[in-house]
Amino acid sequence: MLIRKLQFNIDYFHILTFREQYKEIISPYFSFENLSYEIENENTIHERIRLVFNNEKIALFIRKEGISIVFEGDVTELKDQNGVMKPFWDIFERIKDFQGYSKSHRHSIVVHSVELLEQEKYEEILKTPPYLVLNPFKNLTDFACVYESKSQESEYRFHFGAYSNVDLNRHDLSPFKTKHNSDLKDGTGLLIRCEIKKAEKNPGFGKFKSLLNEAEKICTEYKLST
Amino acid sequence: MDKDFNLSESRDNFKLSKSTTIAISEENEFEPVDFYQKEAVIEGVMSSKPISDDLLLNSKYFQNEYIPDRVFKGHEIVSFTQWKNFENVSARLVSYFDEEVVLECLIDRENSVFEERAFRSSLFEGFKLEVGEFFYLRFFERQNEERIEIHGGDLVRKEDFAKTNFRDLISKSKLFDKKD
Repeated sequence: MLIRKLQFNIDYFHILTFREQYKEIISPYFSFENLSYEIENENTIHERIRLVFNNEKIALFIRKEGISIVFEGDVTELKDQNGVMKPFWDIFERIKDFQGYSKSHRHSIVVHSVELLEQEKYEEILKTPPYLVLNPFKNLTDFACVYESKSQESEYRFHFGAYSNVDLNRHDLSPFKTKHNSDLKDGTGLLIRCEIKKAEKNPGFGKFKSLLNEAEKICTEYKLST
Repeated sequence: MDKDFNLSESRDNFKLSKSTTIAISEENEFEPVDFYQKEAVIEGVMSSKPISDDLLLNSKYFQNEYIPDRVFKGHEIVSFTQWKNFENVSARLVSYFDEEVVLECLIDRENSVFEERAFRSSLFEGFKLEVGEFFYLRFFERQNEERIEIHGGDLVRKEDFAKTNFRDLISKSKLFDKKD
């Protein structure tokens, strides 16, 4: 099952001096080609910035309580710390140098996978969904199931169901309109959204890779096709 | 399926459309100019009748909005594959000669792995070449082509590189200890 979009977040304890310090580390990136940005809540303690690297198909969301990345494309590109994700790791390392930074407390990942199916097979699944024991209707137009699990340090949320064109917008699956996801338009099939949250005091590239591997494993081990 | 993208109340959906674009990348689509209008003007010039003001004023050639409106939209398209960024490297200058610059490149931050790589010095034109200077290198590729961008040290986290005060290292080395 192909991962279409990934979001990774690192949460740290609030940096009260964030507004005064973040511009210095962000401004050198403005020399990059095709970079967009937006500042929100300007001149307040909640000031934050979105940086969109249109060529790299990544968006960074940097704020006083955490940093996030959204990536659309083949996730193997993220398994190289000097790849497209380098600005994320560099900025995070420099945020850690801020005077007001104390420590991180959590990292989390959200991946969206879609397996496209032929229309006939898709309609057959909607007619008699093999995943649902109880079905109050004869014919379904859509369905979804959510599985949640919690351990001492981790939380899992696994959401799967039918995929149709509506989900493309609902889940904002192709924010960069990449070739990687061009087949999703007008396609039908099955969709997985897998979210893992873990308590983590010292997040880094190695731990991110483990988290991504875990998410990939969950997505591939769950046999969706009948 | 239900829409569920927010992870928590403090985290927002990412909408990419509202942001401000800083630098415009190379355009990927080009279209020939409006030949219909051009022919009309030429026809007017070649004719024995004087060119009417209407023809000139109405011709989009004489209106400022002509180029942005028409040049980049249309049916005939020549498209180029976009450059794909595949590697980004923080680096420190180790040595330089007439035509070669040797950089100490950070390969793995967590395990402090560095690699020395040599580049043509012409790539660094406009930069101060001094041992210890930092650079940020971006590598791009597309079919049968590769491109390197050199950026200044503002993008580099200096703490990632070990301090190399060679004078201290040498002076404290046992090799140079005087024996009584």
